Amino acid sequence: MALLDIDTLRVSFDTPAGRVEAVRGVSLSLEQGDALAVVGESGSGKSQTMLAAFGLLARNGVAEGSVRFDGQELIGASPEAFRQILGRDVAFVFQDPLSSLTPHLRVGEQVAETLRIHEKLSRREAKARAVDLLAQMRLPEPEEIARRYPHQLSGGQRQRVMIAAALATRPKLLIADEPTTALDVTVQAEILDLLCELRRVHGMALVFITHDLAVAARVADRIAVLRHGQMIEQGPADRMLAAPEGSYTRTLAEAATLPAQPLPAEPLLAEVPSGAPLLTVRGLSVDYTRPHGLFGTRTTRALDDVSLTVHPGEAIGIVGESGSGKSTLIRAILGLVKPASGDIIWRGKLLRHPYSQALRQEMQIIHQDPFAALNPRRTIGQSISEPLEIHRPNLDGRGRRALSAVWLDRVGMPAHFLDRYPHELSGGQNQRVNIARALITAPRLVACDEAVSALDAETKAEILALLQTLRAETGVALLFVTHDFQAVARLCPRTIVVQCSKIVDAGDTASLMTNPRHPYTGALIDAIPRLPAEAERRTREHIQ
Amino acid sequence: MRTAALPTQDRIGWRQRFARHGGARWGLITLGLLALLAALGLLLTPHGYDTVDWDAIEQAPSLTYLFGTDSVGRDLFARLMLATGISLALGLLATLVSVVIGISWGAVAGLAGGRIDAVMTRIVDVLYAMPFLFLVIVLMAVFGQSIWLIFVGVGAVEWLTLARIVRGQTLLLKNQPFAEAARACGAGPWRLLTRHIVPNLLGVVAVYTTLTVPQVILVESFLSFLGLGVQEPLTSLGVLVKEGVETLEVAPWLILFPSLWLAALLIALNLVGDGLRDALDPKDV
Repeated sequence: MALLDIDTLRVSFDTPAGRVEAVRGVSLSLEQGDALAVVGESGSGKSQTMLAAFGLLARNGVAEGSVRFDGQELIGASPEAFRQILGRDVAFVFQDPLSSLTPHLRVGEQVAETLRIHEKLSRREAKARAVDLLAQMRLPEPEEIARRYPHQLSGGQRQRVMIAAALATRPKLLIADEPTTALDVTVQAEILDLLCELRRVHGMALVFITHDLAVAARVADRIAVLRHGQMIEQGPADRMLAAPEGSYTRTLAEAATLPAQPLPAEPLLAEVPSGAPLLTVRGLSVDYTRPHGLFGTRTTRALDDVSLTVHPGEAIGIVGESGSGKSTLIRAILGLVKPASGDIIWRGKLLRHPYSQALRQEMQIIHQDPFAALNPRRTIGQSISEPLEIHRPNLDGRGRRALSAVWLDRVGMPAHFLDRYPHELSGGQNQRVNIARALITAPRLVACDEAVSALDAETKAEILALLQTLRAETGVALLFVTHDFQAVARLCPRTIVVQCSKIVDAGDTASLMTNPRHPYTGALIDAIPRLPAEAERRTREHIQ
Repeated sequence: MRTAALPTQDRIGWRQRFARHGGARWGLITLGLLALLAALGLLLTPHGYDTVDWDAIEQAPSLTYLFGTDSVGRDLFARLMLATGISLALGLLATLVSVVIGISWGAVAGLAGGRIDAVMTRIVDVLYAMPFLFLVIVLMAVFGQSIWLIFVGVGAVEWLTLARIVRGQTLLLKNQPFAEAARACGAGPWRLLTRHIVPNLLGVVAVYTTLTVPQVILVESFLSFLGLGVQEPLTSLGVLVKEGVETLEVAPWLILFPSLWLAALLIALNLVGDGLRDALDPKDV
């Protein structure tokens, strides 16, 4: 008998705008000890399927169909029945470990709490077991970690604590919802290894929800692909990856494959670097000070002695993990933070902080979160035309609107979007708006701060293509900050690698990726889950 | 590219959104009626608000005296209309004063940051620590007693809380990516404040404002009770309610009508504030 059997599950939500169907008849089944990956993009219904199965829908959600867990029908089950199952037989791990942990409780106590509720252990026994579990998660000095608060741990450590809490009661099924999406690639690789090992050791079943087919290939025996709330394809991982049936699965597989041949250095650009550089950065350092104690301050060096040169029209990838200082670098170049020392030379002139308005229109920024980067109270048209209001005072309202419409068209959106608000648009559309706003004053340099990291695979590919086209058309130079070597390989002929506030490696992208000079670059590239290497790795482990 | 689900209704501004808000419409209508009555009320009744009728002391409502008379034989209807006008004007004006000062002070402090912020916030702290009554008494002693002084006194105290709320919100908003994007476009501090920060604050301010107006009306009645507020023969809703309580057993109409008016006023203000908050948020369609 299957451990989990989902039969034509339908999930819908009652919203003020009417009924929205999130899941339209999905069927899945999972045997004891099996690992299933549910793959799909945001809005595909992959998370809602699992939440609905265990009665965790939002209050306006309705689930229909049949869900049998361990022989028990769960659709229409009482809240009490769900409480009995959740935490004991089924455990969830979510994407954001910081918001899943209670901030004011020590992590050891949080792991122990589950044990005290479900296994009725005494305080002391529970504490000892919690430390033991943390040790199993390969956390160094588990006793010390148990005494810390969530904010004192790194993202990877927090996710290990979450997994420890989930496994505390030895559940039969662990449901992991994008558990590694918020983590750096090297940390992601460690967590995936840990999950695979724990599953083997405990013989528990795993449902792994992800948008990344390569990650799915790494952890799961079977893969189910969801799109728009419907099952596209499911089957054994090996067959799915070797011969995906649907064209959509092939698109996902493509997104998860590192381009065999990274972008060649364009002949156009090969000539340019001999000319005068657009931007030269020499020995740039940035310090962050924050209040410490009653009167004192504490200084952290966010960027340490960084030098780089950008030529007109060039696209440079700046790769590093979170906290490496890569975002600080572009903010310092754009004059949004004040450097502690070093020179920024723009077209032959030394820049001083704060920048003049005239200078501002020559360099622009595109942010990671397309929604947060637009003022929610201003229409798309108002947002796009704001740089014009500042830099083209002789243009009247009609002229600004006309130019905004032209740019909206250039980023592939119809003009009637000018009167809409950001919340009415999708993430990809909002990012197009951000690109239009950045380019409308014809800048010479645009810094993209993880500009595609928050987007789906399909949208990401579209935005990268758009940036590529616009760069060719306008001759703008791009500084493309990301943690994602795949994106860099598609857009930037030249790449620099940042680690711990310093540049550790630089060169043309193709040779960096094939034979990295610095061990950190190698580690970054190796840690990227990609097809078909991940599938091979899993098969190897199974043979062992 | 995915085309987003397009809302079917026409593009609407905040005025239309406000008009569609059921509660807000009723609130505004009630508020308008009360204000109109207060403005015209004294013309509708033959009795003056300070005319004493020795033959009609504590008389129950009748055709001559629509709402009855008080313990010295004055027409309650006339006095109620006068009181509504004074309370409403006092509440709205003092709130307006506090909102204008509060938003400017808080937003400037939050946006400037550093030493300017520290000094401005300390000034608020010091004023906060000053006993309110003491402040009013000093003002009275220096400038003499007048209704205008109450506006100033109450307004000068109420803005402190709002300034703190606005400063906190500004600190949050100025680090949002859209504010940074505006700075990267070359937007100066003035544009940042007026276009990007203050509009995003208005929801909080609208709610706070609706809480402040009733509070001002209550503070005024407290001051009047101490003999520092509105003085006889003028009157306010708070004063009328206070007097009504004293004669609750012998003349219940003296508490009934002023309380009804006060309650209607406060509910209407709350509904309007609620509607304003929703209307100012474009996400709320």
